[in-house]
Order: sequence, then C-alpha cells, then structure tokens
Amino acid sequence: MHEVFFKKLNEAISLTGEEEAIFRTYLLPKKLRKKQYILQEGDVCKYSIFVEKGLLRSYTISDKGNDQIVQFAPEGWWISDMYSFITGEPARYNIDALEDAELVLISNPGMEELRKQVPKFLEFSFLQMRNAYIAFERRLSYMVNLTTEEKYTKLVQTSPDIVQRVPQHMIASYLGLTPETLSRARKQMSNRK
Amino acid sequence: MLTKQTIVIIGTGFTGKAIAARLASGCFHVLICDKEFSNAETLVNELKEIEHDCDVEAMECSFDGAWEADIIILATHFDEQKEVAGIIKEVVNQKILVSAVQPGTETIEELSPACSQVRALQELLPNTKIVRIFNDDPMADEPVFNKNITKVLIAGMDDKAVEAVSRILESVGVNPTRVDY
Repeated sequence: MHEVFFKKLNEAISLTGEEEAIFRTYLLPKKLRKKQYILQEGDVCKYSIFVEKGLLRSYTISDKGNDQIVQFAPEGWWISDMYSFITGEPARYNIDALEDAELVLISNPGMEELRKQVPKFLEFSFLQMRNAYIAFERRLSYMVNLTTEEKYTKLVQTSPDIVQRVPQHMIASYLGLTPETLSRARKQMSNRK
Repeated sequence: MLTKQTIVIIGTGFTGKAIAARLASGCFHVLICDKEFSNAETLVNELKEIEHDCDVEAMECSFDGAWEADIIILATHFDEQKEVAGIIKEVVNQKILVSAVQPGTETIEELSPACSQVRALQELLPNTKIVRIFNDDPMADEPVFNKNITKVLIAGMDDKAVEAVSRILESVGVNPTRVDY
C-alpha cells in the first residue's frame, strides 16, 4: 500500500526503513468515488491529500455561479486548500474526484509530528511550498500575459494527460475561458495545421 | 460539516440495524457490510423502503468499505470485532473506529475506555482512534442501540474522536453522554 506515495517521497528525500515505518503510522488511506467530495467550501481543510490513483480537482464557485478550476491533481500530486489547512479557517475551495481515486491523507498535527520525527521531511515540506509558489506565480503570469491559444498550448505541453482525461469545459474553466472561446481557439489551431 | 462523510457499519444484527436506520436519515453516505452479503442487501432494501432516497449501500467486502469510509462502526460481538479488525487493519490507520458493543459485565471497571477489551482492539489497530458507545444502562442486558433510543454513553481516549462521533449522534437525534469511569 502507498507505493506511489513512497516512490515520490523517496525521489525527493531518501527514507530509511525506520523512517518509512514512522511515516506509515501517520498516513490515512481513503478511497473516493468519482463525483464525491473530499472537501467542500466552508469546511476546514483538515488534510493534505496525496493522489495515489485517479484524478482530483479543486475549484471555487464564482458570484455568477460558475465553477473556476484552480488545480487538477492526477497520480503523484498533492492537493488541498493550503490556506485553510494552515490557518484552520473555512476552506474557499471544493475538492472532488473526477475519476475513482485512492488517496493518502496526512493531518496537520500528523505533518508536524513527521517533521519532528523525520527531519528530512522538513526539507521536503519546504520544497513542496516552494514548488507550489512557483506554480502559482507561473499560472498567474500565464493567465495575464498569454493569448487563449498560448494558454491552451502551454497546458497541452505541460500536462498532456490532463487534456486527455478531462472534458473540454473543465479545461476552459481551468484556463479562465468560456467553453465557446476554447472551442474556437482549438478549431483555429486545427485549421492552421 | 458540509462535506458528506462516509460511514461503514459492519454487522447487521439488532444494533447494526438500529444504527443504520438512524444514520440513513442523516446526511451521510452509509455503507453496510456483513459476513453474509445477503444480510447487508436485505437491510439496505428495508431502509430504502422506509426512505426511498437514503444514501445507503450494501458492500460485499468490509476491507473496501472501511477503505472508503471516514468512520467505521463495528456492530458485532466483541470476538468478531477482533476478527474484523485483523481484516481491515491496513485501511483504518488514523481513522475513527466505533465499537458498538454492550459491555455485558458485572464490574464497572470493564467500562473504562482502557479496559481489556478495548486494549485488545487497540493493540490490533495501534494508530486507529477507538471510541466505544453503549446503552445508557451499561449493566443492562440490552442492545447498544434500538430504533427508539435517544441517549447513549460514549467513551474513548482521543478527545477529538469522541467529539466527532458525538456530533454525528447528535445530528441524528441521539444524545451522547461521555463517561470516563
């Protein structure tokens, strides 16, 4: 159990057998079916979620009632409402499964214990926060500076599997576009080939 | 809590049935498991006859049910609970497990959250938060739960787990009183 989790963790920080055993005591295994929620806006996000299998998304609902997808999390990725997880305030995002999923959850107290008992994990947490910040800044920059076609092309280049697995209206939501705008852009790109 | 919790009930005896009926009326995704799958199916059909839209489902495998669940309720005799614990061990790490079994004891010490029965379960599941619920007259030879019950006693070593189970019980009209004998 948790093969993908430990493979990913060992890629970043090589754990000893003893350290892996400590980790196992804090991991909560959870299955989530397609369309089920692991977090709904307004609840406190109690877990940092690692996707062992399947696909999750986080999204917020705009004042007009539209879904705005913030993140897709396929196998090997982490997802949570980080602000709520850290502060204990109600979550602003919803997180649900786009495919049947197997997850590994770690609570905030669990994270703290792991950082104390496995000091290497502190380094991993720092790398995780740094990467999350870089991804956030990069996404913000793309949203502001790239054209519709460039945004879509970037996503196809960086996450081709997501583009294959997710319906187009969700891709549009993630890119901050209407489905019609994305459809037109894809058609124009296809016509030029 | 807005996020719908998944609760698995393992065992479809008198107590399991009564707990399932209560939870089916609440906002939960309820999974029912039994050694005999047909018993779980029968209970689900009975519950759906009363409340057509209830979110209740029979599961063939207690391992899968416990894996999917946020909270596990063991509503079987204590000896069977130990057997089930061995099966679901791998997927209940860090989860809340409710042991719903009437103490059936003459001595008050046996009601302690750290009594020998719970210690045995905790040794099998060292990283699981075990909570006990029992009839508000623990010495009585009565089931833990029946359909008319409005109060139960609750005990456990983990305060947050006891609080979480108490909130669930309150949400379906059962008033829990914490005991630490």
